[in-house]
Amino acid sequence: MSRALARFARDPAPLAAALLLLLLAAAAALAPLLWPVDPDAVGGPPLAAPLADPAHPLGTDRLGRDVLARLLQGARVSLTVALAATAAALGMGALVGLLAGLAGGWTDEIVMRVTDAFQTVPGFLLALALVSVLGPTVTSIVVAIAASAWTGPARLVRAEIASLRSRDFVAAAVVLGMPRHEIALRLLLPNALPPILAYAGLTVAAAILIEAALSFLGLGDPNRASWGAMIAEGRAVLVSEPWLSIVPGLALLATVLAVNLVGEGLNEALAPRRARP
Amino acid sequence: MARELSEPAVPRPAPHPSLVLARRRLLQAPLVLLIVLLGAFLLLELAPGDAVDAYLAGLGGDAGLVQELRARWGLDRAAPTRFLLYLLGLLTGDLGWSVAFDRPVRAVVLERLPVTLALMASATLLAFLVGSGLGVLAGARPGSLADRLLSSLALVLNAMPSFWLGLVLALVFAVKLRWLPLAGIETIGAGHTGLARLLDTARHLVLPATTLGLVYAALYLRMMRAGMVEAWRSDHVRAARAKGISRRRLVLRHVARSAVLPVVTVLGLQSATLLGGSVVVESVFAVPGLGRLALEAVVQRDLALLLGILVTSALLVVLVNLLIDLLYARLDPRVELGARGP
Amino acid sequence: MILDRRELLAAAAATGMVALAPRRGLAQEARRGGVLTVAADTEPRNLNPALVASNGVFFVASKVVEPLAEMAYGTPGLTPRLALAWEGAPDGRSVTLRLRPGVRFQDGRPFGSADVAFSAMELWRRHQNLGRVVLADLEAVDTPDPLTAILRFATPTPLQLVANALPALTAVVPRHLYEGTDPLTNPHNQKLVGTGPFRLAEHRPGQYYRLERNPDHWDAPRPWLDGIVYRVLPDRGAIAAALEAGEIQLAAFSAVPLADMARLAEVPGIAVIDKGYEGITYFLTVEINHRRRELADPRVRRAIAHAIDPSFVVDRIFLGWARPATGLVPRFDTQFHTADVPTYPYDPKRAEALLDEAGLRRGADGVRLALDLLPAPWFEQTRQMGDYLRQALKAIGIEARLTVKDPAGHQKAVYTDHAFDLAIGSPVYRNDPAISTTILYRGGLPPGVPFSNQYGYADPAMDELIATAARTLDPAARSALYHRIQRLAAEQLPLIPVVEFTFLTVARTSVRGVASNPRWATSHWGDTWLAS
Repeated sequence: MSRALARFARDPAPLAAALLLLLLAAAAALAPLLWPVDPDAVGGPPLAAPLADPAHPLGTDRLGRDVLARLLQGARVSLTVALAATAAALGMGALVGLLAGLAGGWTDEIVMRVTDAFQTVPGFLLALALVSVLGPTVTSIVVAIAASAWTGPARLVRAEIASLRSRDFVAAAVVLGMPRHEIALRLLLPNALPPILAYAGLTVAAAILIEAALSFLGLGDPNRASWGAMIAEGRAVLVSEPWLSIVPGLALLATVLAVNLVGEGLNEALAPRRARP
Repeated sequence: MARELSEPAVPRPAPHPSLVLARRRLLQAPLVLLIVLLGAFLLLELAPGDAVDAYLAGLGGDAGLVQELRARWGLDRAAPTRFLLYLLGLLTGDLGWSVAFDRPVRAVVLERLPVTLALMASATLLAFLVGSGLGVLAGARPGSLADRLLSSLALVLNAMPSFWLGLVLALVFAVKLRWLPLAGIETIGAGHTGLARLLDTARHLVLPATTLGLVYAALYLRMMRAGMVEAWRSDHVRAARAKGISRRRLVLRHVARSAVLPVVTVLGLQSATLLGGSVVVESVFAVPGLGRLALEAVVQRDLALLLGILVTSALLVVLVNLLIDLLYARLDPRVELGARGP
Repeated sequence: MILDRRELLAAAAATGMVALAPRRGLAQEARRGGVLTVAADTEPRNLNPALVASNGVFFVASKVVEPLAEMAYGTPGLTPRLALAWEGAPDGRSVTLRLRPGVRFQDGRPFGSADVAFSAMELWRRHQNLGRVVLADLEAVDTPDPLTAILRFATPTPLQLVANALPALTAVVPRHLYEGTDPLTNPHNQKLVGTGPFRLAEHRPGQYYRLERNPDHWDAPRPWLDGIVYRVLPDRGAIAAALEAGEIQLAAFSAVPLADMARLAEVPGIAVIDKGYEGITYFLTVEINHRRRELADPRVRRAIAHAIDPSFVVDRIFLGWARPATGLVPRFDTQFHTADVPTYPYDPKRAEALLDEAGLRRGADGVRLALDLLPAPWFEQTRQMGDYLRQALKAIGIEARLTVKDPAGHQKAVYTDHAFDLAIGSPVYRNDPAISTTILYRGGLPPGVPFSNQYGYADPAMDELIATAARTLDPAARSALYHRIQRLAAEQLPLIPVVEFTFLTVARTSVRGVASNPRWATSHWGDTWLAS
């Protein structure tokens, strides 16, 4: 593990990206201390330009709300939703994959056809339908993103379990009389996990983008600022006050880029067999 | 635990594995479709408010009108009955009646399908050509300046939110420069026919297809490059290199060819995501396609329409994957190499 | 009639702001020709205005299917269309309509009293959302000759109400195309046939409606335009850009985001017009669920009213294009409006005192009360009002949780399930309080009736006033009753009217004859033309 870390640290790009993400996460978490401005307070002057007023470094929106404070709150929402959705998707995927891989037969067949069904429906469409039906809250957005992202990990885990089952150490455990659930949880699952962890980076990045697209279409949680909603609101004044949609857009771009870089760095570090060119 | 693996090993003198896969997919399709339908039905059944609520939301009315509409649209029947009736209709090719459009679902869907197909096809073509083309450039000399520049570009594009990209492209090319139309799929009332109409539609498709396609181009670029890096180290490329084949020929014939296979596979897998992405892009550019229609169907609680769209898109995805399986069998260099002996 | 604030804003954007309306004096300059392309943001499933009285339908269909009369600026407030005159009997049991001679439907068949009688009995009264309420007592329509139709009512019905209902409720469809069919599934609900200045030539769903000039229109030489194209642009962000790029020439109903108006007004060749919607004035309201114990206390409702700063709502949410409201009758309607009502000026201290008085004291966390707030999804402004109200209530110790639902979900939560504490609504006023306004105060309505009193509010005095006003024949007495209703409503405050607002039209300056009547966007456009 420490060797993997060392390999990770050798490459400057993922390292810089990881630092950026840490900074962002810290800023989002500590926003109330670092920039104690209520992101929903409507008191300020409307549509103030960025870098003009020290009270509003990134300007204000139409209702006079502070863009920096909203950006930080948006970071919080974006990261929380993405991490929660990824955890849910991977957890659900692992569980389903384990079940299908272990049970085989009809259970496997049915579970895999359900997986197929989920993969047949465009993920974003599914998320959209779920959120508009469940109502736009952070929880329903997490559920919706997870519902559209669990199939990949499920397939991976199932394939991994299928190949692990025929390995010697499993056969040995069977011979030794180890209970089935223990074989599953102690032997199979831990060994099937690495490939789905490699999947995590991708899922986090996709979740951030889906959350943003949903709130861009007006399906974000109205109680919290979100980058996608900020872009949509700024769109009304795109020509005269472009910063209102460009600032959150850049934040979104930078975050997804950083997540991708870190994810890739981790992949390479964890899979040294595939050496870099 | 002692049970055998449920999938038998592929016997030696068998058809290409992807053909076996294609046949299995075809056999499984009806069950998958049924699950999709049941899921979508349950989802809208659990949704707060039905088609009558959605309709009257823009209108007002009295209690009598509400009851009358529910009876007229068949919403007063029990849910299982309605689902069974729907399935029966489906068997006879009847996709039902859209209450939001007051027309048969089949007509509504067929009207929008070509638009979405055109958008998806042009986005895919663009993504594939740009992505694999630049990928070959990057993978031809891994580590070169061109490779590093292209790889960085791909990273940035890959992280780009498509709705934001669409917004920026529209602002620059349609509003500021006025090179391209901003929205829609054709010039209204222009009365174009034949080639002129085709060109007109193509012009309207440039921005949406680019917005939708660029993200995938980045993906294909990265896959192509990664595949080529791998291929440079493979035995048959080393062997070919030893034979003294020119670098250009080597890159195109051997390295790129084996790297293109995974790209083609992903192309098929992406058809569902592409359809999802087109929801956003069709909204940004007011393209009258299936994606936007699906959004409307959800908002209007038009169950029959949503089911119809899902059936169509599921068939589409199954069909594309089938095609990809067949294509894969044609493209796989191992088939060719196999003839020559390993 | 323009507010100070609006003038300030208008002055800021003065260079590009050309008030084009109303310009009847210049009508002789009008020239024939040209196709007008406008933005449409919805495609109604049923386009027949005789069945569906909504602004979305009227926006397209009113050019094809005409009502008996249209609203007009000044008094008496109506101009004849298909009817030339309307007289009421002294007992209020009948209204006689004299119809315009020489009118033909677009399929060539003559228009006459039989068509009016059929439309009234079979469509307006039986199926139309507004007609079912206003014309519920219509018993029969007599047709002594082809140009006379006599509406007969079971109970005394004021002529004032019938006349006020003419513009929105009385679109006439041809009897020969509807008789013997189910009107709700008749194919002509899509392929409209009327007497209007334009014919519906083509509808490409998701793309456009194309209307072409009706050469046989009774009001020759009108229409001036060769046609109208409604381009479906559901995304509001795209509409301003389309206007600037010259892809459309007009966007009605504030289809361009208000925030972009000031900038657009400065663009050469584009004008922002703030008239032509007075006849369809909307209100921004805070709807209150009286089933919630705390909210049944009028002091708490008044406290909420005191917490709202109407000038913030006008300036920031409507950017000046709205006015504080005192009740649900707009100032424009001098017939019924009164400002002589109790008011609740912005005063957070007073609000807090009222809440203390009602026994709702701040807890340790500073919170007195937690409420669910559901802003309606209909307008950008209803959502923004939700954001603002949440903040305004926070200042007086009320914690509001926002829930935004899609139209169907909101409809069900508020008007059927009553699953809300506060909601932001936007009722429309339609020329007479009895058409779509008193239904917001009347008690005892069954659940599920959209845009009605689903608030759990029922007051016998209010119900009595509403019932009396609906059958009072004398116009002055009737107006006085509605004044009393407004006073009682302001006193009891079952819901809080915050501001009244109308819409803006943004158009190329070459589009003339815009805003020529108080419901211009939903009227015939026979007098609209394109300057070269």
